Amino acid sequence: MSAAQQPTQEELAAHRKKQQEFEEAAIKIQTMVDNIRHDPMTMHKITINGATKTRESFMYRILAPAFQAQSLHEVIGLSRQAVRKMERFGIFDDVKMQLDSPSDSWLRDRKDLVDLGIWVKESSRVQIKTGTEAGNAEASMYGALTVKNVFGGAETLSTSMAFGTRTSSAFQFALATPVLADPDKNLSINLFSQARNNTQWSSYEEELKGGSLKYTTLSPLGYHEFAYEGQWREICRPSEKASLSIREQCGHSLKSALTHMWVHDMRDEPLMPSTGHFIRVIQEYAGLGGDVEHLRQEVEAQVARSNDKGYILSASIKSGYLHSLNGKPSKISDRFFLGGPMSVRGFKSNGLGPREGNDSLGGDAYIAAGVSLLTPLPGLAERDSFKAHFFANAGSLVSVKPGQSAAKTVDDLTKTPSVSAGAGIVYRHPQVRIELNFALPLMAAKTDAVSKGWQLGLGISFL
Amino acid sequence: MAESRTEEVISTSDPTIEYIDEMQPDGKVVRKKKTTRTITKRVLSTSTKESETGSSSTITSTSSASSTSSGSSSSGVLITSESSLKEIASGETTAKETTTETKEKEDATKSEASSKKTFKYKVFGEGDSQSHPFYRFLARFPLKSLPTQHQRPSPIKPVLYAYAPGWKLNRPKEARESKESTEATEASEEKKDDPPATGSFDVDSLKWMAYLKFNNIDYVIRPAFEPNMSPSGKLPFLALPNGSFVTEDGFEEFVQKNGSPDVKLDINEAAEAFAFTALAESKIHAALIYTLWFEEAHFKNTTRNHYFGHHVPVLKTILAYWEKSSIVHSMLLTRTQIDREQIFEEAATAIESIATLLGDSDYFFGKDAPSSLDAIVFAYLHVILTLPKIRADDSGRSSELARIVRKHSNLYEYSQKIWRKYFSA
Repeated sequence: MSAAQQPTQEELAAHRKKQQEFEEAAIKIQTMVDNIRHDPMTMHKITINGATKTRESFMYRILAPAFQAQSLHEVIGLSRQAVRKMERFGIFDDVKMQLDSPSDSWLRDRKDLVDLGIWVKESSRVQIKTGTEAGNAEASMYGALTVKNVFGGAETLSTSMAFGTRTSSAFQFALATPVLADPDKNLSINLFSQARNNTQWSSYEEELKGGSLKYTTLSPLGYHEFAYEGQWREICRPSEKASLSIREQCGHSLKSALTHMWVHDMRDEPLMPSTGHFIRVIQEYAGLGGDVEHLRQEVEAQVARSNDKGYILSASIKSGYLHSLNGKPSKISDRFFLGGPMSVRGFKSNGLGPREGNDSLGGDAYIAAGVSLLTPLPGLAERDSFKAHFFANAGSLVSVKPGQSAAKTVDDLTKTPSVSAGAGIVYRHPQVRIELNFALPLMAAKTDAVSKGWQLGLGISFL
Repeated sequence: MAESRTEEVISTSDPTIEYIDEMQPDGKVVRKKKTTRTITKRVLSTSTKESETGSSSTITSTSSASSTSSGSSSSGVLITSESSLKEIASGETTAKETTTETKEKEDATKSEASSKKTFKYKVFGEGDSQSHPFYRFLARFPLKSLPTQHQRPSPIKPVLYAYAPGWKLNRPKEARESKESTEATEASEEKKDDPPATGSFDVDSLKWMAYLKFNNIDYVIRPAFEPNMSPSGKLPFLALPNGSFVTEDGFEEFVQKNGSPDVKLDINEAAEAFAFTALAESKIHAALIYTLWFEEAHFKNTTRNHYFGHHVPVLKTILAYWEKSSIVHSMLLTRTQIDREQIFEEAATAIESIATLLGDSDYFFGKDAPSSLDAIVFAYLHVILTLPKIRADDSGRSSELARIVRKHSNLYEYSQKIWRKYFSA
């Protein structure tokens, strides 16, 4: 037994010794690294393997900051940053990095130089998506073609087309490119052509053709989008029963506008937020040529709070104002519409505000607010995606005559609010939020298109 | 529904006065005077359907002199009969008889509806019966009904949406502004009695204006430049106070029904008028279209500015070009080539024969008031004669049509006379 124990003890001792050695070595390396952490060290060379389609100049822009490193610590930090940036463009499936001593033989002994090796796997360039959709007595098909990394600089070219049997068709072409190889700054050119069928709430169709130049960027305050947009709109094909106000809107119109959008989103998730707040501000100035001159402002804010029992209380408010700058009444294409299962519930889609006959005419100023209480559903309490929903909504949409005083507009807005309340269930699908509510209008103008009873809402953004 | 006419007859019977003595609880005797007057309102509607439907409602209102008792009763009676209008108007007795009938019918439909208690009806309350408690619950909402802020006043007179005004009266820019201002001040616009614009540079629009005037139909002109807005896709069109529209197809009928023409053509004259209308609308029309759209001087300086002047320059150029090419297409539907010589030769012949037909009389067929042919011929002549003269080095090509008309002094004077009498006043 003792003979048998002896080697074990020896082994133990050896193991202990080894462990100690390892620890010592680790400490030694650590202290060594710590010691040389601030030692001068510069990047000598960066090799990229596997990037056949990506442009060299583009890669250089991303990796150039790594050459600024002055110490080992900086070398490691900056190369990691560069690699993370590369991943964010979405053009590589996999990115790996390795730091090594210089591979050139005459530089082997230089301790202050280091080589960076990057191995990437480029993702496939072309993506084609087609599909069909059916619902609400209408079927549509769409096709989309996306080419990533078109010119080797993470540019994205996307083309999409959609046709509906009854309503609309759309064509869109977009070319987007990061600015100065920064994934947060994006410049894009869009061309689009669209036919909108608005006959569900008003008796006209609209054809839009246009293009825009858009610049998006992130700032500490949130997401910004600056755009110039040119649009050729045509209000056409008034249906047989179209009212005179709609008929008088028929015709062509050119809009040339600058827009700015600011989004500050601190919610935990956009579809059914349980905490956080959200602000979106959109401003538009039209009047760089074309026949519309206006300022259009839209503000939207939402705040959500919850407790640990699964009760969520959220409130949101939306407001918009369209100010004509040339003394002419606004065009229906620029006006706001309000009402519907995703807006002021208990009313038909776009059923609030100025109307003539069965046609919604849209308004120049609106305000809408909503409070929603989401509670766990009895029996489904452990499932977060199902909730019971109690809500109260209010909204007001009015037209503003050119030159009308602000006081009158405010008075009009507050004079006749349309109010509704109801309850229902909400289901949060990963992509959309689906609501089935029993809504009742409590206050409504005589002309408002009310929708009493069950109402189904399906969408991304709700009041 | 397309062709229907309604007539309202309101008749009041002589009042019957009754005196009633009433014993009050405190022993006083109060004499009450009760006046009964029967007001009968009959709405007779004729439709082109085989059976005539008329509805008459009898409202009996009772007014009493003393404040203590007043009663009024109203009853609506719907008569459905296959007899002619006169029979419906004939007496109250028929009305009462049919009342019971319709009531029975209503009962039948009710019982039918209540038997249809489908799943949808039970759950969603969307059944056809209004007696379901769920429906009645829903009917209470909205709890508070607010007044509407935006009400477009319905017009008093028929509104004629047409290209207006004429060539010289207004520059297109002003025309555009006047259009916008009419939109902006709809309320005040309705109050104005005189139309904001007279005449038109468009033959069809001017033809409508003239024809309506000749038939003594009052209307308001609203300048419009978008053919798209019309139910038929063509300007002009009439918007009637009752909300319906009159387009090219129903125009003649509308005028026949509502107009009171000063003159009537007999059947031979009507046939001749028809023939000359066709002549004008094919031969003179082609020459006018050619002058307006294919003579470069006119196209660039007048036509384009008048038809598309309300758009920004870029759109004006594009849309005018599209319109021009569609005109070429439509012209080539009826001829193999657009031959200027031939078009103008035919127009000259047509104008000459029209001049001969008119002769020295004031109006066609020697009448003392204008007829439909006058409206058409006047529209063409006026548009041609008032077309602005363009100084262009085209050896007078652009003003050739006007020269052809001016050759016939009777036509020139005729056009001037009608304009002065019906439009400039």
